[in-house]
Amino acid sequence: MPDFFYSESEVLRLTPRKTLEENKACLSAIFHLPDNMDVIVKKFDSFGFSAMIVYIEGLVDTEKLSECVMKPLIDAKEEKNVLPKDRISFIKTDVLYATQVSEAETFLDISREILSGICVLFIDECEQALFIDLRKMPHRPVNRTNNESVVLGSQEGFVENLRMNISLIRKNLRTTQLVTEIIDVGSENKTKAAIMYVKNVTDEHIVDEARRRLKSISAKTLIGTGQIQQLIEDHPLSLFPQILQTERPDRAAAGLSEGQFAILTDNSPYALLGPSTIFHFLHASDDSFMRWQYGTFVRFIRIMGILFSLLLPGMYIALTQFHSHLLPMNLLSSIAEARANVPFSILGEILFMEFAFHLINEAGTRIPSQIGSALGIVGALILGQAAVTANIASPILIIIVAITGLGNFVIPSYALSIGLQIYRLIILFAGAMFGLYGIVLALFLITVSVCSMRSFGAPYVSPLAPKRSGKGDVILRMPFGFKRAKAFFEKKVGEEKTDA
Amino acid sequence: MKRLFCLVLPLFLLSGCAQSYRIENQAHAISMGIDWHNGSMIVSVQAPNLGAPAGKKGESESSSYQIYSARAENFETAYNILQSTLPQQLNLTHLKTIVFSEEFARSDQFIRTIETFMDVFLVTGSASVIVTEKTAQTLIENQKPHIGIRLSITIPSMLSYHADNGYIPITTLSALYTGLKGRYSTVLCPLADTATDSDIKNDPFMPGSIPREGDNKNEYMGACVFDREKMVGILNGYEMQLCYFLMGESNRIADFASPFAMRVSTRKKRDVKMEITQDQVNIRITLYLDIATLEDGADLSAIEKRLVIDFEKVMDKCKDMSVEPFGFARCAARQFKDNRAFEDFDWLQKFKEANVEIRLRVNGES
Amino acid sequence: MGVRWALTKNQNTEENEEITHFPMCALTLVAVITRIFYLIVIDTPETENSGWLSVLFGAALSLPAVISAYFLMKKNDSSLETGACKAIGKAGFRFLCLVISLALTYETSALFTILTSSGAYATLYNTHKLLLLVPTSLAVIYACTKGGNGIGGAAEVWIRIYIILYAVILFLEYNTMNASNIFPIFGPGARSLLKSAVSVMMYYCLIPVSFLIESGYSVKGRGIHKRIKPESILLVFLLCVLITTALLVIHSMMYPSLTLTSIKRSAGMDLMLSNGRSNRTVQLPILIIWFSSLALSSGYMLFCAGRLMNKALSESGRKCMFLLGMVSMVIALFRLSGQERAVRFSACFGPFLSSAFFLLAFFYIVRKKG
Repeated sequence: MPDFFYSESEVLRLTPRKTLEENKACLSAIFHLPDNMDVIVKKFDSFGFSAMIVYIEGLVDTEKLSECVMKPLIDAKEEKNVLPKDRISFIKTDVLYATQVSEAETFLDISREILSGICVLFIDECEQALFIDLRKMPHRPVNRTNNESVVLGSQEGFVENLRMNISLIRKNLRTTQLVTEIIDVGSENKTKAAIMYVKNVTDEHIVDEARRRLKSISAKTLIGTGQIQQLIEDHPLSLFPQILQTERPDRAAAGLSEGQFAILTDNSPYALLGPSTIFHFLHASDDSFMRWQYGTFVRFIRIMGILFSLLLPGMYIALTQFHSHLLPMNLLSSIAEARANVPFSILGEILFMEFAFHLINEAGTRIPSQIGSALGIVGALILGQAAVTANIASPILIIIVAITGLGNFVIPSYALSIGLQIYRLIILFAGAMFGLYGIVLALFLITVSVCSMRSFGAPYVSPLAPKRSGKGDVILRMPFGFKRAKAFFEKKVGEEKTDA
Repeated sequence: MKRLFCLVLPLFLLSGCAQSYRIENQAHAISMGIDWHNGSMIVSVQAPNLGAPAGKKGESESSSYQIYSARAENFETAYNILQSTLPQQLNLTHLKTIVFSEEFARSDQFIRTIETFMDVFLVTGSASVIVTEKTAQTLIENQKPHIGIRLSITIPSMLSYHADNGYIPITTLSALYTGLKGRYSTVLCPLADTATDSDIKNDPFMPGSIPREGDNKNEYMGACVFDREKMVGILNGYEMQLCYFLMGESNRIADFASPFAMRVSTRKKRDVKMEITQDQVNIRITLYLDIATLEDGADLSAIEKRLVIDFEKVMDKCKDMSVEPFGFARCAARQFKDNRAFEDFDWLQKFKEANVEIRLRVNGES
Repeated sequence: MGVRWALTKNQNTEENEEITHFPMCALTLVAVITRIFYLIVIDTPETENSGWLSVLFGAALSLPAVISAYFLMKKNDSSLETGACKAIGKAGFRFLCLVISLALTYETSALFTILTSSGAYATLYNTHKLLLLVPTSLAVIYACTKGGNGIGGAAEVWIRIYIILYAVILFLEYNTMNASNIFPIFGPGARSLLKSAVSVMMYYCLIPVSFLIESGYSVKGRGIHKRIKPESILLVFLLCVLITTALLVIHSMMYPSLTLTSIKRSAGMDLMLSNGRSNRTVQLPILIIWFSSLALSSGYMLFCAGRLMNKALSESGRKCMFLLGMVSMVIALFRLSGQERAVRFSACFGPFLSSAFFLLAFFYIVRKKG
């Protein structure tokens, strides 16, 4: 039984105690020792007084620990007559080889630092503690991007380490104007987040707003950028993503240089870029890497694909059920002939095939890679000849679902592609109920709601609507010579500023 | 409020479901025929037999298309009978041709039926109107995709092919309607007939008597002329070809009225000069033609003279019928202030008495 | 969880209820052109193929109103509202807003009627009108409550779509166009053209109304304000006149003028849409333009009505839009805004609106001198 007993809540407010026993009791209360076995507490003697080092196994570079901390401390057998109050500064300046050493204030700080992989040194009869940064977090090396792969351009992707990610951005954007602010986010389990922006390019109002939103997050736990994004976006109910999440340092750097800010957090291999307009979600980073003719062509194909993905099933049902006169007779008779054996209504048929498609899509994401090949077989069976032979779907519908699916895959942003899938369903129902009238009404509502959105104060569909002078790079990719380097929301140098 | 909208909107959207139909449960008619005989009207429709794939090898052609007809005193009743006896809902939006028998086109029923068509039966602007000398039913029965698989493709392509050769005009139902209801123009519709063995075959410009043989029994040649109310006369194939030139539409025809093979085509748009006074109209029309003969030594001036006479004959024939299909009225209308002034002028009557001078500017090549 | 959205509630509400000048100009263009086009083609088929002349006459008649508005803006730092208040006092201005707002509510319901009946005409002829009217009006109300820049931005997006679709229509219909269809130039006679020109006048006078509800600023990016120039009212007016005339001339060239016995709303629709029921590819772009432009115009009318009511009664704009939208739905439901009534109404209200703006300028000058 320890001689001292502290409750967890009161101990966090305390400063380091005088005796090692007391300190150990405090730590036991915080870290639930001795049940918690990866928190290492090691006592030893040094220079004639006892000391105690605490760290979490696995988060600390043990080699460095023994080389730079334990060895100089334990090897010093001779007793030095150092006053208890000077012991900490003595060890800090004269003994340790480690470079990042600082002093602790309260047990709250101590517990946080220990959790983040810092070693804490307690010394007997000394009401202070020493932080020694010997972190060696497990993380993967910089790798190729997984979800934003490009044909041309840099292949580097972010990793789960904040420092590494910041340095990846700095590597792309070597300017003294690039500022990195670190903010602890979350009410209980703080996550380190960094806001990066380029001074004199990013509008201060936007950065202020981003900082304010980050600071006012009151969620207890935040795992990464995904949650932060949901907590700071302007329209949580909208189906459109409003903050671009990218795993490409080059894209983040490009955004920063255009006047966006980036938010990075520990443990997420992504950067959040804001303010983002809908066009940021439609552009891929190799659009501008390629020559403008190729970039424009690829982007045109992409926009057509997106339109197909959004409208094709709805249009199909509207045209076949309400406006069959708009289909050529030959196409109409092929559709009617193909449908003659299908027992479902067109809506039922489309919903079934769409569901099957989404199922295969989702299964493809979750399935272990070893049995991935089985999925191809199943997919081909469901969305293929078998469905037709079994009279579950008509062949023309399979083509429609396939084109729709392909169109959906060309959307560079995964978030937007899911949003559009939901809109597709809405348009599908509108078309099934009111034909073209319903579809136009649905599109009207969608355009209105998209145009009314803002991302950190920047209109979401700008520079198209409202019209803004922006770079010549919205839908068509203009030659570089025509292009302005920055986006419409960048800071305008020399213009008078007033509050919005 | 947003939630309220989210709840209410789909509710009402759902209730709109009732309207839609399934295309496989519809009989999409390709042709419709209207006959008028002894005070009763026969309405026939031809629809592809969907579900049984058209044109499969080994299947007889007749199984791909089915014809239904009904007889009543007027069009509405006949149509209703037809609709209620047909196994599937009749859909007329894809109609490619509407065939009228000549007897019907000349009857008083004609204009009333056309109005009903446009008002009630949702018949479309894309259906071509055809007038046949025998019954419409016979023409439709003999309408088969002889070269090709689907009627829906072969009919429009056949009509446009014949029109390109200048033998027939192409007139859609809405053009017929706007023509009948319009202020200036006389409408021309293609003329067709089903050749039977008993027909005398010696007139190459009249349908039904073209000296030729083949599987396709239906022959399209010439045009019938409508005034405001009904059909008033016929132009044969050659007259129709000439009419095309007079109408100012660029054209290219093989002139087989001439003793040797030759081809006439428009070089330049026609030139119309019009002098309109209170009671006299003088029209001078200049046509710019290229004439290509395949034989040496063809006398161009003789050909020119013959053509002028033929053009004048067509003009006179139209004057006799009190019609003016050449579009002069549109040119004349420019000289009037408003519709009332134009109507008071009574164009057709003035045209009948007008001096029309036709000049040709011919370029020959051989 | 204790998770709270970090953004403050209704952070953008204030900005959203206003309409900045680019979206406003775009929305006005779409609404005025659409309304005049349908007024001529659908509501007054008796103008036959000379409707474009009515449009020009109407423009000439409404020119004094537009110039008066321009004058007031010019004198008052681009703010028509300030000018109007100086001319007739705050109370007078509020009363004027109230009257225009009520008129526009009626106009909204007329548009609801056109929208639903053309929807019914094109395909949904078996669907009960109510089932079309309710979702349509709810959609428009919802769009308006999304804010001026939402619906104005939508107009900016749709204008680009219209240009593409109209190019497709011209390409497909190029052969059917015949310049001689617009003759005789005065068609049914100057008298009947002038009669519809009076109705047209009302819609041109909506341009100054738009400048009443406009916030006067364009937010460039964030934080940088730019005042609208008074000349934009003339530019919008000019664009409206030119585009409407061009569209009507093109439309007149497509069909010969008809001697119609019965002049009803569907006569115009027959020519345009049905061809609307025909299996011609051109129907698809026509239908899309038709429905969406009508939806945008009814959104414009309702938004204007709501904003003016908001100025008159100092109630929240959204609340006004919702209530007025409901009112116009009810008016349309009881078929009180059919073709004849709507045309008669615009023929009466057009001169009123036009003279109101003219008198504003007149009083302004009198007060300044006095």
